[in-house]
Amino acid sequence: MKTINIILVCMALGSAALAQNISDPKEVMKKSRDQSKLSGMEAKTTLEINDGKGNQRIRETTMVSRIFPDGTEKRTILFLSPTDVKGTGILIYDYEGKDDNMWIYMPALRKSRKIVSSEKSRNFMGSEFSNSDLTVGNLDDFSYAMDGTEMVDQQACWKIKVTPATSNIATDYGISSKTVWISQKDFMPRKTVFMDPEGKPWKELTYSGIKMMDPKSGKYFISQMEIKNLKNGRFSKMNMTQMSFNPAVKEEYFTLSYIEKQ
Amino acid sequence: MKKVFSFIIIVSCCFRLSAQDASQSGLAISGYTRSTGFFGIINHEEPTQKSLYNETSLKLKAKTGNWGQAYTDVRFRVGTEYGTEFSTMDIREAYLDLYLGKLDFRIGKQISPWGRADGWNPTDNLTPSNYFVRSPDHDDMRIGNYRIRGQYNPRDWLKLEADIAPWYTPSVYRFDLVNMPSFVTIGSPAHPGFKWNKSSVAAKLDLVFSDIEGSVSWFKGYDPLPALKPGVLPAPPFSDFKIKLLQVPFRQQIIGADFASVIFGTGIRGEIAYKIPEQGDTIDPMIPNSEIQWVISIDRELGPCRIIAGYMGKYVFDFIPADPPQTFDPAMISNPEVWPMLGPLLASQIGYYNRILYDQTHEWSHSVLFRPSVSLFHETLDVEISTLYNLTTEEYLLYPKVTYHLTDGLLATTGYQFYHGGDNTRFSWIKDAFNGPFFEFRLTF
Repeated sequence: MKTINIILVCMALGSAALAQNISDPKEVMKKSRDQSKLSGMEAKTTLEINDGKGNQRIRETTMVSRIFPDGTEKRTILFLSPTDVKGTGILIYDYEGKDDNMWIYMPALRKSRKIVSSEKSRNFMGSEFSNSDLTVGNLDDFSYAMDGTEMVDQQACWKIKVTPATSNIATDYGISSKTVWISQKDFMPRKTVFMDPEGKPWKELTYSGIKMMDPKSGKYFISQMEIKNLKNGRFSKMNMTQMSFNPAVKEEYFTLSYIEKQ
Repeated sequence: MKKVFSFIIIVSCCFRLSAQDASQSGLAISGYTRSTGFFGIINHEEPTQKSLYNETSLKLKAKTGNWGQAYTDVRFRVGTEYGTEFSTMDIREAYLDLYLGKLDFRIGKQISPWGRADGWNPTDNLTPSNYFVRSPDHDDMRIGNYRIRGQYNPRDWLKLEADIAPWYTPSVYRFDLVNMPSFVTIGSPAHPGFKWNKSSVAAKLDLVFSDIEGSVSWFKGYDPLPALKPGVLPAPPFSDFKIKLLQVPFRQQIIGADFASVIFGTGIRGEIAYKIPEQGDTIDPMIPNSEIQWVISIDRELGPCRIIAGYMGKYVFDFIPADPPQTFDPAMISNPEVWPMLGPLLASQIGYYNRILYDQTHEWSHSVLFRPSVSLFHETLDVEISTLYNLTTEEYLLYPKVTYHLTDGLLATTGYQFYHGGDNTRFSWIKDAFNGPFFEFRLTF
């Protein structure tokens, strides 16, 4: 019993020390970002788009990703439904320190097309998610301020206010600021509230189904996200199923030839 | 032979259908059914229905693990087009893919366009087009042809492609819908016959780097669009003067290149092609001159809007200026003094038709396109307007289109095509056939 008590005290002290050590909000955000970068994974994604009036649309995709030795994360997304976009494939090369490369293959075009990936504020597939909600993003695009701690989903969380570093970045992302709640236990986000360009609450994003995917390197993955538009009642849910951690995803999945063959 | 080829591929698809459980065999069935109507006013008369038809596309894809796949797209179409009733079944594509590690083969009737630019693709010379098909979907203009395609991917940034098309498949140009003189009839495209050494062949080297991608390509073979040539002139005296024009394919060699990049959030694409038609021992004035054509286009997203803008230029080598021929009056052939001049007169007229057809009426020509589009209401309403202006001939096109996603897979599209061009221009040829509103309902499955 005495031993257990000592362990608990040590753990508590350790947690406090850890929390103190990385109480710098940017460090917290960096650790949160790093923790969610899996070296390789495969998943099927279902996106539910609800218009708040009872109408629902469903989009299904499969996704594979892998981080390569030079730090480049490559992702391939294939659309399974609805039928009018089935066969569409997207290939993304997410480089360290420079803009992404992105190609799209659409069956109607019959060839891959290099596309501009700079529209961070654009809705993703007609949902309430924006493109930037689904990518890791550049830490230096924002400034960070600790705004205390709060309980979210029964988790003690740091509350961090995130503000675009420049007005151009604010325009790119389509927000004036956002507040992110990050768990002190696993450094994964639990909630984000986005403020519109006028500074009013706009969208609320909640995260659940957070799973340890790679115990060896302590990497987590968020399997469910729900975003609500606080202005018009629309909401969208993204649910990852059939997830698997696989650092050896075949390289050929991240080629134009592959998305063109599907 | 072609039918046998298609039959084998379809049978191989069907075999997979019956032989394996669809959920495990990798068999996929998809397609669409649509109702499409094009309307318009011809010669200031009452509004008329130009095309009204239903079309169902049935696409079968059967995969065999990592070894390959078989694919067919069969289209059933019934209705009227340009006032003529029809009921057709068209095997638009039917091919087999074979994957052998870094080497891929595609054999059969296929559509594989080339070129990275928007609007014009001067390096795409293997894909014939049906310029007169009535559909809001641009891809429907493309026609499948019989090809063997090999691709070698030694690196993920390098691809080598070689194509051979042993059967000539011509593009479709409906001269019967063009306002031709009443004494002129147009024959069907002549077929050069099947000879391996007369195949169309092409090769391409594709390079994809992080900041820029591009290709260089070479083509030798038949231009998909046959040239017009005069048939046998009737012998005098002419009681009922008629002349038949022939559509005759000609061979050419083309060296091309393209590129695509993204700079400061703007997509930039370009393409260039040097076309050298093959002449015989004597110069055939019906075959177009050598030319060089180049395209540069940009695309950028601005909020929900996407803008594509492009420029196309062309230079015709050894250009000899020519005035448009005077309208030929068949009444004057009653004068025997005209008879010796009849051949050269008609040749001059048909030669000029070819200049219009191949866009070679000027030594230099320049065109621009501008296509803004916007997706509204959470990507349920797509609005776009395609505009094209030929600065040299002053032809232009206005083509607004609105698509509403009624539900997933069910689309309603409406729009208007407006072509305008002066006398002796391509747009003046087609404007009566094309101008007018259209609608379409499409259900994909």
